[in-house]
Amino acid sequence: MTNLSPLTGSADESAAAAAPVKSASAPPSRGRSGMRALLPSWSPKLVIGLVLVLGITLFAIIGPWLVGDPDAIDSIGMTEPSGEYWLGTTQTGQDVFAQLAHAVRGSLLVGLVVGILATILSALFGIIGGYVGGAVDEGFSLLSNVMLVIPGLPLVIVIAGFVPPQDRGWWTVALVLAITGWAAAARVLRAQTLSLRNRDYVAAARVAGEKRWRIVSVEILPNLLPLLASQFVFAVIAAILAEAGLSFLGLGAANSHTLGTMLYYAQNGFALQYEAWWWFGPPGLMIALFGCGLSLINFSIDEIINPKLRVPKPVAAKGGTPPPVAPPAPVTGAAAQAPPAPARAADGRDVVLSVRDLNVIYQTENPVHAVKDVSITLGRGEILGLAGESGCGKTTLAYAVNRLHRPPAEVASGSVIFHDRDGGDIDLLALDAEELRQFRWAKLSMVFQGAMNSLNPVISIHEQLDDVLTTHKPDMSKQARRERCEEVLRLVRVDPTRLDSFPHELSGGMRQRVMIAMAMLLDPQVMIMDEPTTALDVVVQRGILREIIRLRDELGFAVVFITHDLPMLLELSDRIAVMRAGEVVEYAPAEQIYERPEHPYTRQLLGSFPSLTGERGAFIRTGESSPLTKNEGAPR
Amino acid sequence: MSLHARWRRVRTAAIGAVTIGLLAVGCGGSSNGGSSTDSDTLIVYTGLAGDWPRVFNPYLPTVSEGPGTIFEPLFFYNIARQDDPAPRLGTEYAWNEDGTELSITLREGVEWSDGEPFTADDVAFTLNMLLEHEALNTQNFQGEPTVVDDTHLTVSFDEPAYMKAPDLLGKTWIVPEHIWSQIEDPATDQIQEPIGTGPFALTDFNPQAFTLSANETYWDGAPALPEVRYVALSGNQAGADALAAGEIDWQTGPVPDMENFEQNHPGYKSITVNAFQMVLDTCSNPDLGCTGPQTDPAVRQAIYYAMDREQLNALAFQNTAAEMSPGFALPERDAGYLSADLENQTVPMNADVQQAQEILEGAGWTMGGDGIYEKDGEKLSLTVRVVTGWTDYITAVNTMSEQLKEAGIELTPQPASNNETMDARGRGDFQLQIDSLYPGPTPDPYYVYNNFFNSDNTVPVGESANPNFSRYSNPAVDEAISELNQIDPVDTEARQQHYDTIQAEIERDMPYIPILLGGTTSQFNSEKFTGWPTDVNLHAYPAVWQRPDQAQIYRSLEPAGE
Amino acid sequence: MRYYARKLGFYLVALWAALTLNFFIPRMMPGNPVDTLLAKLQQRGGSVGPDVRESYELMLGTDTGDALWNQYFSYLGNMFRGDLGVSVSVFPEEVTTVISQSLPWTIVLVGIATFLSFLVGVVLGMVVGWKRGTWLDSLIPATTVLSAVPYFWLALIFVMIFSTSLAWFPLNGGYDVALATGWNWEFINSAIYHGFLPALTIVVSSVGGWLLGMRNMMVSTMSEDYILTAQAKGLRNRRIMTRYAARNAVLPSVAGFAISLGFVVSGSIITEQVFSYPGIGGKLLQAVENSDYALMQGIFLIITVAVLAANLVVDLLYGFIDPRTRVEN
Repeated sequence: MTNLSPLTGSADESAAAAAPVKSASAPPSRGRSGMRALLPSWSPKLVIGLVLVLGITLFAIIGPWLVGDPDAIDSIGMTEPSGEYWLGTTQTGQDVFAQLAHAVRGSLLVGLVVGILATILSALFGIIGGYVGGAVDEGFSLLSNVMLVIPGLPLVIVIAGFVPPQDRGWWTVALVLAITGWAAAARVLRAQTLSLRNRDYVAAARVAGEKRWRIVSVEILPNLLPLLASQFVFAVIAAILAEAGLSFLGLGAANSHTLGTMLYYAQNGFALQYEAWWWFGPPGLMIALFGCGLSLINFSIDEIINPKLRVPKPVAAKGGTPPPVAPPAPVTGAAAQAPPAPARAADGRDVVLSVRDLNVIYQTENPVHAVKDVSITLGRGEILGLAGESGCGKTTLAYAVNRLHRPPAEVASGSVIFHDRDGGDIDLLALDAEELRQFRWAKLSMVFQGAMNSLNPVISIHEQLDDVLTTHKPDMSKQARRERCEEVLRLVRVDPTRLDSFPHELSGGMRQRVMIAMAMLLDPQVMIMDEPTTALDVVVQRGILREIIRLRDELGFAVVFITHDLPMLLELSDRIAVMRAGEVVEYAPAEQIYERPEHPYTRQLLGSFPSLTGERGAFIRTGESSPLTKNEGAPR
Repeated sequence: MSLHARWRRVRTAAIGAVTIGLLAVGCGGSSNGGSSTDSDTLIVYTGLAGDWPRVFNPYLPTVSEGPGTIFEPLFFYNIARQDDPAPRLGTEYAWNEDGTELSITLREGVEWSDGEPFTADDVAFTLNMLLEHEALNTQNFQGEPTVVDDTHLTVSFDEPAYMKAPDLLGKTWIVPEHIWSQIEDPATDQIQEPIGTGPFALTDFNPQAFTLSANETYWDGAPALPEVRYVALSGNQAGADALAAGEIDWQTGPVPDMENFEQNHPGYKSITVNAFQMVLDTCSNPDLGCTGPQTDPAVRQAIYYAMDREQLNALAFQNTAAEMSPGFALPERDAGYLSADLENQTVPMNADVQQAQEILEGAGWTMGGDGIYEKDGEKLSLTVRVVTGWTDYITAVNTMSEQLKEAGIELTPQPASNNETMDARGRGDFQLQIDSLYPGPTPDPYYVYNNFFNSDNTVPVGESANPNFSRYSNPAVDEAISELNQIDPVDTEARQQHYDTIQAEIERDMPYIPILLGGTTSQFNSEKFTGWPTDVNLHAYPAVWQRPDQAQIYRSLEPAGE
Repeated sequence: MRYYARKLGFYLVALWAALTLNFFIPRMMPGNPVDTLLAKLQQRGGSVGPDVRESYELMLGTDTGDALWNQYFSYLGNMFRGDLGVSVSVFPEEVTTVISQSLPWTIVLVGIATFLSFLVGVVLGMVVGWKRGTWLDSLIPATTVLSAVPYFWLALIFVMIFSTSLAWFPLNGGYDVALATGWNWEFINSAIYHGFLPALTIVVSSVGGWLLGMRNMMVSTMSEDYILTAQAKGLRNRRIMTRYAARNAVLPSVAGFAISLGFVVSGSIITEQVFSYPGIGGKLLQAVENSDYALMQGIFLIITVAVLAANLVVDLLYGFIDPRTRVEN
């Protein structure tokens, strides 16, 4: 009985589901902008939801004034809808439409009161418990756990018993529903508060000596508002449904008009057996429509809580199915300063990958040209450094090469050709989905920044390595696969016994080594490394860099090494391309860049980093130098 | 175990479950709708919500079945009409001169269903058991049984006990001594395997249904009806649905569109009998702690006149209710008991607002500005308790409150749960309460008078009264009832003067405001079985829950055959 | 170890608090079993004379005259001994008998239905989330409408369509009463047949919640780096969807599922009422309607234990589905 309607449970589920998302991966909440974030974006769903909810609410407010007495009895009962009685009459000749108007008002009041009370209670216990912690938290958790198991059914009768009969009504039911309904929401709020209180800006406020209530109300509450709003909406739906359920069992507010009591009387008056659809149908439909409206509104709230849920607006005519298959655009015009795409690179190596005049555009409302006319050639076994500040387009470039970019990013023009070791050129932009899948990792693998997030946290290292082999080399025996996995781990100097570990059981450096090992599994010809060492400390960084160079020397794959750390590239790379605002501003051998940097931006970059040798320079990240800085973290 | 394997297993299980479900539809579709039943099994629904407990102890209030069918009384009293008691285990009985000794002759050659012979010792054992276990002695039996021989016994009393006879002879279920004497405490024993002398025996039990089968060794020969199955449903709606689907053959309960029942349910017939007197209980006695306008008899009289019973009958009771008498004897069945001195032989069927207002004004009530009477600053405003689930009553009080408004009386319905309402009724925590007065064990209004109007059966407000809920106390009525106790029911002439007294008193005081005679409606399958009671041949009270009348009806039924 | 001891202590305290409330709440309800019983007998033709009340008070032993505190302590003692007392509404059956008779029906029906709706919801949610932006998105509002429909309303309409009009399914009951109860195929088949419509209603009205939760988690998971890695690895989409996205996205739903299993016992009153199903929900209603304290307490005990156990299981065993939580303990 604690859980009368199945929705109650699932509602909490989805709220619970939303919660960890926010804490784990939502973009950092900007301290005080919660209010602004509450404003939903207009979508058809929201519009329909609002129309339904407002319409029904309006009916509840105005309706009862316009209709006659819902209790008025007429000797001729069970009449079908007519001009006089829009929804017909009940068994005792009462006007169903009039009853509906009063009942909707009653049910909405129940929903509203329960929604408000339950939200306040859950906020009180969840937020305070989560923020204060310690014994208070334990106590509150205990209370909410006990409330979860309290049977609501007899509690309705008990509470009603304490109220004199003439004062009873919908509000006694509402009170009980609120008392038994807040606990699940409180648990979600508590979890959310726990994660919020550890955020930097809250910690900062604490250090600054702000009062507790002030921190809770100014720093934490605004960030919880969307969640609270969503819980309120669900509490309202759940309350209306629960009231209907209680009434159906004859335990509701018999002397007030609610949709539940209306259904109860219809059921007891044999409405279904009389086939009096006009009596039995409308109350249920009303609840369904109102619930549907609220759910639709809730979608919009969910999208505020978790921006990832937003469906990107299809500005261009592209579908959202990953991975997008961008048709290769014909190469237009000739590259101005870029070296021509030769069969051999400048230093005489074979070319393995050539990118020509590549343009990538984010097709948002204000399209962003993230990669502009970039041409690059990668020689076999070469280490090519790709340098530039955050947001300069280097990651977008790297992803576009492997067509890993996601909408709204689009390759507008240019070509990416892979020159296979076995002869034959592969036009990457022309591959179909299956060919592309087979190409990936087998010939070109990647190491992403932040190895923690690149490894699937819930399956073991072995499974993640093994996955690649089972997919690309289905003929390999289990034994052979295991041996290969151990072999690549040994290559990156990770103890093969760690194969059965889960990612979280490894240190950051080790995870990155595992990623590199994974990238080598299929003996690829090109490896794209996107800031593979950024999150690591200097000592580990050095170790991994040394490893990469050693492996390149042993295995002979080419590397595209992406970083903002130009001094590091100088040590590592054969050639370096410096990117700024989507364009390659300088593209030359490493020594040349070091000794004679031509572009002022290159010089700036060189001066801004503490190099590995320990020299310090001024940071350049002022932000005004690049219009793209604002797009930091733009979808890849 | 790898998680992968685990998931695969879950997936397999799910596919399995879905397949089973589809299979079930496939297989189930070929069998018939609800239950596969024999064409001559009578399927009954008693209107009780929920599963059956395995309780076949006829003395427990929670008994699933047994009185009349498995266990028999000595005689059968028909409360549907004025019949002489019909012999069951007894064949004759006689009172001594002053009504202190009852001689009973028992049937010969009766056997318990386990083959043991039935004798007078069993009867004496049963009566002594009542004396010994107060919890079972709901009829307050205080006599002393003496066995004369195997087929004769006498029961002696300290005072005349004429009026105790119907309970003793008609509602005492005779149990086998050879089994029950082994039972540790008959008040807490379920009697899972009942052994009786009755026409039926329990042959199959599960919580959703149990089956009684004809007792082949019954003294009157095995009944023609081979089997009765009692099914469990969740209430009136489920009952009406099952009836419409032809899944039950006899139920007592409301159905939609009562007037056109027989057209809507081909093969079925419906019968309505009226024995329950619907009233407004009033907490009428200020001496016992009642408060409120209803303690003024004029107010009760005014309500009596102000209600439009014809409209109530149409709106709330589907026209199944009938006229009742302010003398509280059933106008048809008890016509012989009705006093000629009654002001009205039967209740007025239409509202008489003028009369109501005259009565009120005569008692000092004056019309207030809002159209409601008042007296000494007190408004004529009453609350009426009603059980939330009972829609007919709720409709009735709602309708009534509109009707009484016309006469300047304000009536506010107060719905509450059954528990609370019944508790309040017992404790006198009400002003008005819609209720119905149940009939006694024989067609004699004495029982209604004694139960509901005798001041012996009431207590002050706050304590639980049973069953004089109105807390009526009138020495003249008490006196007349105690006189009736002393007079042999056969001596109708001597008794009538006391009935006259009682009826005059209670019509004037009106501690229970008469509404209508409630109808008990049963629907039965007349195509599958013959021998049902009819309006002209009410050989038993036709309600499936009425014991032992149900057994009387089972005995008269015969499968019609295909 | 200390962590487990603490957790266990926490649950024991919660259990005690719930048991205490379960003792006092029924006793605060208006009404008493004897008057309710009498009223019930009166309505069905029982000639309830003046002496009946006293007899039944004696029989049911409702007025023991013990102080409330003594009753409370003997109640706690009895609960731990598993002695749930005698039910008043089906006197003199033991509460344990009543519960053991009805509980399996509820657990099987609602358990299977809950499991199915979880499964269907999660699988659909996975696909809808994966194919975000396609027509599949319209499934979300559709299932949400179904979730917002009053449950019994839907059930009654189903009964009207599938049982009364089409006669595809039985109107009521948990099995064919003409068959012998037992583990034979015929009986089990009839039980499945009878349980189909109730289960369908539960699934239809609860699948939307699971679907939505899973879909939202799926969408957030899909922007995780490891999904990108998986794509770069050239894995097949199907594999990425199941092993990488869904495997992570399902975690909160699994926790929710465990909790909802705890509510299986209590969440079915209305279903059982509509379908006259022989489960525990109907018994709870019966107990409430008849002021049957012992039965109420017994059922509350089952509900309490089930919900707390489900929570405990989630707390303790979450590590098995999410390896990350293993070390923290």
